[in-house]
Amino acid sequence: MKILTLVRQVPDAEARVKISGGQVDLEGATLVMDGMDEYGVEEALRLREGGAAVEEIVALATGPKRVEDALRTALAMGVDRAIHVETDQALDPIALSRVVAQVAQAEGVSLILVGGQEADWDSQALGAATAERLGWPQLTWTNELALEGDTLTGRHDVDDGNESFRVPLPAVVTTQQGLNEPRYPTLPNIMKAKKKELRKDTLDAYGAAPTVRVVGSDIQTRARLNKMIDGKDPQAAAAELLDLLRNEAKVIA
Amino acid sequence: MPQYKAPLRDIKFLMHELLQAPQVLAEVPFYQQNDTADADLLNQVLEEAARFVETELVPLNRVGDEEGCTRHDDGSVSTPTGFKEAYKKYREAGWTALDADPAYGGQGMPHLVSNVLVEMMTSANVAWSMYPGLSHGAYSALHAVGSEDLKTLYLPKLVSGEWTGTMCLTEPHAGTDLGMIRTKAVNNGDGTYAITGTKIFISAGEHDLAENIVHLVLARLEGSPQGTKGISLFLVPKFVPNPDGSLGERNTVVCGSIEHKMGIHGNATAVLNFDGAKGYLVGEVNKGMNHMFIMMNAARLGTGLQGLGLGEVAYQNALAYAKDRLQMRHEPRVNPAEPADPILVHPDVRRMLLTGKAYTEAGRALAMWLALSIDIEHHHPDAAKRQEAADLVALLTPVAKAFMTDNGFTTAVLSQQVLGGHGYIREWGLEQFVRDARIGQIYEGTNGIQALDLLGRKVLMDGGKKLQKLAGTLQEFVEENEGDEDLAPYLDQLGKAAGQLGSLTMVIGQKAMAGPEGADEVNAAAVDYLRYFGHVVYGYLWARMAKIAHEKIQAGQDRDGFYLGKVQTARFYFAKLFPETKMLAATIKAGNEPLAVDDRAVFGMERALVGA
Ligand SMILES: Cc1cc2nc3c(=O)[nH]c(=O)nc-3n(C[C@H](O)[C@H](O)[C@H](O)COP(=O)(O)OP(=O)(O)OC[C@H]3O[C@@H](n4cnc5c(N)ncnc54)[C@H](O)[C@@H]3O)c2cc1C
Repeated sequence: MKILTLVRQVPDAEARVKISGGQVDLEGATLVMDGMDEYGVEEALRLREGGAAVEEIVALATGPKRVEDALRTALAMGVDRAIHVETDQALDPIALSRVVAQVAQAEGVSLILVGGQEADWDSQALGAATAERLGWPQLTWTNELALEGDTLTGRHDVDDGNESFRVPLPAVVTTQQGLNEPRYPTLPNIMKAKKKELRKDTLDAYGAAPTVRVVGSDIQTRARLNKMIDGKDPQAAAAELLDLLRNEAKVIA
Repeated sequence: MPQYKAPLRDIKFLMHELLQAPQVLAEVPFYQQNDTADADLLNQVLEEAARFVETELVPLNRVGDEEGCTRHDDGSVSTPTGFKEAYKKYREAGWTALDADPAYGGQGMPHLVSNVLVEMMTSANVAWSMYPGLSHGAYSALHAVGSEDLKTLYLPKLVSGEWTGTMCLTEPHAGTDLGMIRTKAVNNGDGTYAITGTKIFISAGEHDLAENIVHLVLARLEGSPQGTKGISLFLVPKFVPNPDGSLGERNTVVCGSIEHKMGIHGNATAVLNFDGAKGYLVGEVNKGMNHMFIMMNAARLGTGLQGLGLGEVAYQNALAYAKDRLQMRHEPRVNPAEPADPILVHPDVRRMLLTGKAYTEAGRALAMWLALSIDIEHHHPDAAKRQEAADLVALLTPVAKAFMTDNGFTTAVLSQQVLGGHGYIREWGLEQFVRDARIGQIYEGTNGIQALDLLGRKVLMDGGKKLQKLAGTLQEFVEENEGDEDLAPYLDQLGKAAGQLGSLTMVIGQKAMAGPEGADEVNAAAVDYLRYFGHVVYGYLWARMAKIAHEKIQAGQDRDGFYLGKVQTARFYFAKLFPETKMLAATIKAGNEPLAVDDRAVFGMERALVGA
């Protein structure tokens, strides 16, 4: 069986992004593989290393040329080959799922690993949209996976606890923090990754186009309120602080 | 807790735009064959290195400082919490093999890349970085002069990081003056030697990161002459390995104590007692000093990198603080909604930050230029190119070591100053950078000794040939860019200073030959001379960086303001730091006379030692 893992490139959590012309401008920002996708890549590798009959692990990314870097990281971690659908258009999850579903069918994969949430746009729709297009079952927010023959078992979080599941492949699985601890690519694997296939496709080939367009963006500005609590009476000051945190800032219950 | 982000943007700028490293390395078959000159690969390795360093080493920096190392009664030493695990990950990811010879399991990457990795590691955790750092030194010496047998047995273990290494030179009565060392070697007649003596201040001399430690020890073979000409280099393993590489008997070298010191607490500085320990000759008898010097250029550059790395991380934290800290009001108000403005607006705070930035970025350019030159020196097919690179490296290594560690310390102190009183408080981390940065000026040959090496050995003893070659390179750059309006003010200053460096060299050279006091004249001028030299080199590099930056700006390719930042930092450097050369010219010219004071009157000695 083959596994497809989706890779997105996002600004590093500490990157300072700018807005120019109403769009987020990533020039100069450090870009990395989305952490959620790293869990996916790592899990695919672990399933194979755990003895499952995984023939091939393929990484897929869409986006501009620079996205290659994230794919190279996946290759260096141990993925066998990569497909880059090169485009300068930003694809929303619904549009992106069209590409993912077609690649999955063309490649004959039976398991798709997708980040549970996008670090940049926060969307959680990609897994669901892909599963819907393919008519496959979807397992979300997984914490644990095991593969035996064509049966995937695992655990995932629900609101007040977790559930264990069993599903026959094919299936779409979304990841979350805690699924595993992604490895560092080793130096020899970084060098080997250079020789692995990184196929380039055009977006036209998939007939996908953005369904949503970002027409403007703003960066949140923060201003201090400079609220001072009179500290003469410590008891009263503590009570007032608690009240403010509870009822105004709403940061404690 | 202090933060650190590897300055990848600047590193890539230097690698690809200033040095054009992939093109330079592509001419070198060694890197081509190993497939390690590729631009994308270089970038990817740097990015992964940055990720490792930021996530694994940064969090251990404070722990290492607080806990330090512990020596136990049996002579074993444990490193701070987390050091061992981080070393295991580092090793498993293959970083110990980065620029090592593929014949021994290395990855054959350019030294340039490992130079950048070392900078990042010293920013993140200088004490930790010294364990692999010393191993690399031992690897280089052994690789250069060791016998095939020694290389086959030891190099793969050093390359994989299973074993670490040390450099044992210093003894209680012999630091700068290694000719006085007393550790002795007796030929056992079976291809081994018995080594006896005490070495002090041995970095990474004992620890728990690896199962074995390979000590490279300077000792005098019985019957050898006194002085530096009677010193040989020996390999003394902590555990004597069996021919298959498995560990054999415990050798009679033990850690007698570890030092309590100002900084780099996480690195064990050991007193090592050798008691007839089994050793193997490395290279030729009585050539120990020469052999050590083979790896000295790389090791000294490595120490320079500590200045660079600590300057960088101190600067990053000072800058972050200066953006946040609100004190006093600036006119016009920057932040009218707040009671005060961020201290970053005050010119004196900007001076401190820009000083750090200017020194750090020029230091990085120098270090990477030298590292690439070391690659050419070692592997270029053309002998003339190798020689040219070797000369440049020899000349500029003492400058890199001393100027970079001095400026790194200055930057750490200025960055601490930016935090005001909070800079003095432990939890902000700045005081640790100051303490950690101090040692770079002292070990690996004090900065005073570096200055003597530069002025005495590298310039005067060589008849100024290497200096002239460098001056020629500078002159060429100045002439090539004549008429470039953007660069004109820099080129003018640079050209004049390069000329003056030549004439100052002549002045000192003449005094040096004038009589028996000549050596004192060189000694008196050396430190100021090195600083002057350093400014000329940084000035040259800033002018080159500014040239590229201007071109990018003119081509409309400065979307994130990176190049504007370069241009303005260059301007600051030439306006505010480079003029130190004027003062240095005066102090150099003042010569030894003001130092030849009356020892009774000034120092309270009973009799005059020198001068007056
Ligand atoms: C933390 C730490 C780690 C170290 N790690 C190692 C290690 O791993 N291996 C190792 O072998 N050593 C190591 N050292 C030793 C270090 O390299 C020496 O301390 C250093 O070379 C200076 O030697 P010294 O301390 O004996 O000073 P001295 O040689 O006594 O010098 C004292 C002062 O006199 C000056 N001086 C001496 N001669 C002259 C001269 N001719 N002209 C002008 N000035 C002069 C020096 O510059 C210095 O300022 C380490 C030291 C420390 C503190």
